[in-house]
Amino acid sequence: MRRLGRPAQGWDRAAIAASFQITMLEGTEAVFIVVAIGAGGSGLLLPASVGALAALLAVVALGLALHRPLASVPENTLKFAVGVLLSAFGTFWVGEGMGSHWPGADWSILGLVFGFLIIGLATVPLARGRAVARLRTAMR
Amino acid sequence: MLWLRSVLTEIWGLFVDDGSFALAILVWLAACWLVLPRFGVPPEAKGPILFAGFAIVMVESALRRARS
Repeated sequence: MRRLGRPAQGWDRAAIAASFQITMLEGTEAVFIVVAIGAGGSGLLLPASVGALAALLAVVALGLALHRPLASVPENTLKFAVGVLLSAFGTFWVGEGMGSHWPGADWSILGLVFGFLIIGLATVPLARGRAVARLRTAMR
Repeated sequence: MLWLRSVLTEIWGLFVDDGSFALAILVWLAACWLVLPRFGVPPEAKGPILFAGFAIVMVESALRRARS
């Protein structure tokens, strides 16, 4: 998106479209989480919804407070970090849903983060090599 | 109808970037969920096994895309 640059005037349509897509995706995930927790028993849907709403407000507040320092982080680094965290939390919750008892309980999330980080760092050079090869082919 | 196809493709693309990768994850999830209990795998081992499968799927996907 940085490569696209900023429009001379008006709103940045690419930024709006990207934010809409990503937020819709994450919003859908949030709805699934609320529904899954709400399905756990009677009277759980309202507290789950209130929790999701509180999280939304907290995220908006954090976004307002941190958008400048976060904007200085390289885009791909941010995506990589978010991907590692989502993979770790997703694996943990899927395991919980399947009835597994994670070693160290919630602390195993840190182990999963470390594991996915190692895998990501090990496989990034593969993807980078492919990107470099494509770039060289395009330049010929 | 072309616009509808574009919308549906966009929505599908939100969730699925690499079809083979997504399918492999679903197959591994189903295997862990349905097959592991039949082998009497203890609950403490299910999580690490689940992660190990995901790790293999991720590495395979990266290798496949690197070769393509």
